[in-house]
Amino acid sequence: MSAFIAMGGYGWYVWMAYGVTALVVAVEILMLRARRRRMLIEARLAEPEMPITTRATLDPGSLS
Amino acid sequence: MASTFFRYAAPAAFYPVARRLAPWFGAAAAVLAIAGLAVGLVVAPTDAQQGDAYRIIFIHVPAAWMSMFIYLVMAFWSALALGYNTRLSAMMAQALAPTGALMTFIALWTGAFWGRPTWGTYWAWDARMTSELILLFLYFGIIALRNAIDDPRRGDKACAVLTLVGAVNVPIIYFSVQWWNTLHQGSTISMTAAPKMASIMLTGLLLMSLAAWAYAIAVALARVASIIIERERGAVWISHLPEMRRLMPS
Repeated sequence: MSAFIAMGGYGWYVWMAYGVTALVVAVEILMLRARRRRMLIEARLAEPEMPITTRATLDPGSLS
Repeated sequence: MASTFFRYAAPAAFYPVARRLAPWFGAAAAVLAIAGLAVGLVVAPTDAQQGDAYRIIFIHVPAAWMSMFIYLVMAFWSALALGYNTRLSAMMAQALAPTGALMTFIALWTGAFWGRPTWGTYWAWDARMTSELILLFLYFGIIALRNAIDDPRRGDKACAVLTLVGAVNVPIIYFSVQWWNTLHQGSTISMTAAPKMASIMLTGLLLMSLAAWAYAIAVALARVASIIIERERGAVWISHLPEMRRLMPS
């Protein structure tokens, strides 16, 4: 196992390459989820028949 | 046939297709990546010349291919958007730009960490690397231009023009290793010659490339669905979507 992590002395290079790739892919997926949620909320706010009283509870700023 | 195709050119018709297909491509990407990582990091033997540093190839090469290919697909959708004034093709181009930038960043980053142990430097201003860096700036420029224009239809046109002008960079990246004397090596894999690498390494590279394809498709479909909701909001079909009702109790 430690030999696997060492990568024959190239561990720093191999794991920096693989680790940062995994990180940026994870960040893209999380940003995509957040964007979908935000767009659904904004679409909900844009609905014409929506009663004005519920708008405050749907303010994107009040949701995390 | 043509009528079927054009029916899905309407954002309202394409939205459920994108939502349904995205998880399947995502699952395919995960399975292919696990198999590719197993082959690339465990099964494939240590390289005689480069030691284990060569294992970076399994992400570097697929990411570099995707960075250029996504740009070409974006240019294709941009040309359609300009020529036929279709909204969905512009949305597809918009959805691809962040993933193209991501792939370009991964190609540059993994290249730096491969270059250091093999060439002795993280970075050099060589033709291949510099043109790939310009590709990253092109992606950033297209995203920034989109965000700078409030009217989405005007943004579509401006981004399509910039994308098509920037497409000149893709053949420059691709042929840079032939046109100039670069630090970066020529292509290892060619359609016309026998591969210059062991078949197990080739298998790992193929699996990771397919994973990158499936990932890019999944992410682009998921993002275009969000873009459709953003740009079609207020439309009746959007308010009838079950996910709008599920969002929170009304």
